[in-house]
Amino acid sequence: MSLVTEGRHKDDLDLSRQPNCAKGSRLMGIIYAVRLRLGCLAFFLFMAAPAVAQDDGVALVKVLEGSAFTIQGDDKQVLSVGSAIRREDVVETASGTVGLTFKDGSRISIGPNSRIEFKKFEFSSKEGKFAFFISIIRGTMLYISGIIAKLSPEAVKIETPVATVVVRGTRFLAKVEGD
Amino acid sequence: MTVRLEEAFAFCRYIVRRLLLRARLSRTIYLVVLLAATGCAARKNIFVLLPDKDGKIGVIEVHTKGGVQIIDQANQSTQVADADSKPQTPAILLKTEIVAGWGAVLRNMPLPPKTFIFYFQWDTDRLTPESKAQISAIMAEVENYPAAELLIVGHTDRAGTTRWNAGLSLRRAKTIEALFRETGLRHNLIEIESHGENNPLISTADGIREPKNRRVEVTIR
Repeated sequence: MSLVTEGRHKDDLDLSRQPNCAKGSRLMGIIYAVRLRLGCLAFFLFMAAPAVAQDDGVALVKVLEGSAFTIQGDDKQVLSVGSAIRREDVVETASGTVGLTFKDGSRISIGPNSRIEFKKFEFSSKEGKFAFFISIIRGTMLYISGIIAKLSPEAVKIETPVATVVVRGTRFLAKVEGD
Repeated sequence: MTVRLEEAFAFCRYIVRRLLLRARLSRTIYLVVLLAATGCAARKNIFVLLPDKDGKIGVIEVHTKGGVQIIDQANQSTQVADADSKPQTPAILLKTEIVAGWGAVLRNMPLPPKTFIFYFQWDTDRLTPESKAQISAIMAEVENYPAAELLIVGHTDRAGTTRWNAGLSLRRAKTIEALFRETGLRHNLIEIESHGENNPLISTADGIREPKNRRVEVTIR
């Protein structure tokens, strides 16, 4: 928020210093308009973020060795045992390892130097809505399926930058080499 | 004269800004190209199917744009070199290779969820004597789970009306919830559901009394 207003403020100042040069000011005007539009876009993106953050947790940290983090936008949080993982969180580890249990009983553990993005999680037997979709950007992981995979195997998808794994049961390891 | 000077200044400032903008743009383009290059570079992937704890062996399918590989044997693995080639021919990994590559994740997997069943006396929310005797053992089990969460689901048999049974199964679930509350679990770590007579363990005709269906299932995770 502060970033956006700062940006606008700076542009306002620039504009007030505009000399009476027709060519310059027209171009400045265009640049200003583009900037303003970008500013608005950033503003709306910012406003949309809290709606995601308010979502229920989809998993809890149960095991932790060393340190691990969740990242959502610019927000980086240190995880501890009992921390919630929310929809669309990104989990990163450096030297640490973290073990998570999801609401449907699916479990994953994430090894050192990993980055995992939580794309989608739906677990509602009443509405028949199931989804378990994560993306391993780099690192190591152990996955053990839960109720979602039992009730709706096609709802489970685990992808990496080059491959997609379809899980028909139950327990597998993955390693994705990073940069 | 001053107007001319001002104009000249403005023009200079405009040129400098354009140049700066272009510099920023070209830096962005450079970064994008760099990202694309590293993204396309071979980032080897390995996937290994492990047997379940009970010895059962599942199946995973590894897909790329180049093809599919089906992995259905214990400790069988496939490698993916890049997005365009088919995952490599499966190979069985040695235990030592698995531990060397994935020791940390194997060591730090959370405990599997566990489900316990409490049985109730007919048409009441009073536990059977056998179930009452098991309470302390189940309570102790919760202690083994770090950041334990509970799912408590109430059920009835098919004696009585559906509506009555919906209420009865909720009362049963709440009775069990109260027991676990005493152990100090936070409110948001306990979830309650009431299924009435809709999810029997043993299916019966309507109106039949079945002790195995008069229950509350508690899953610790």
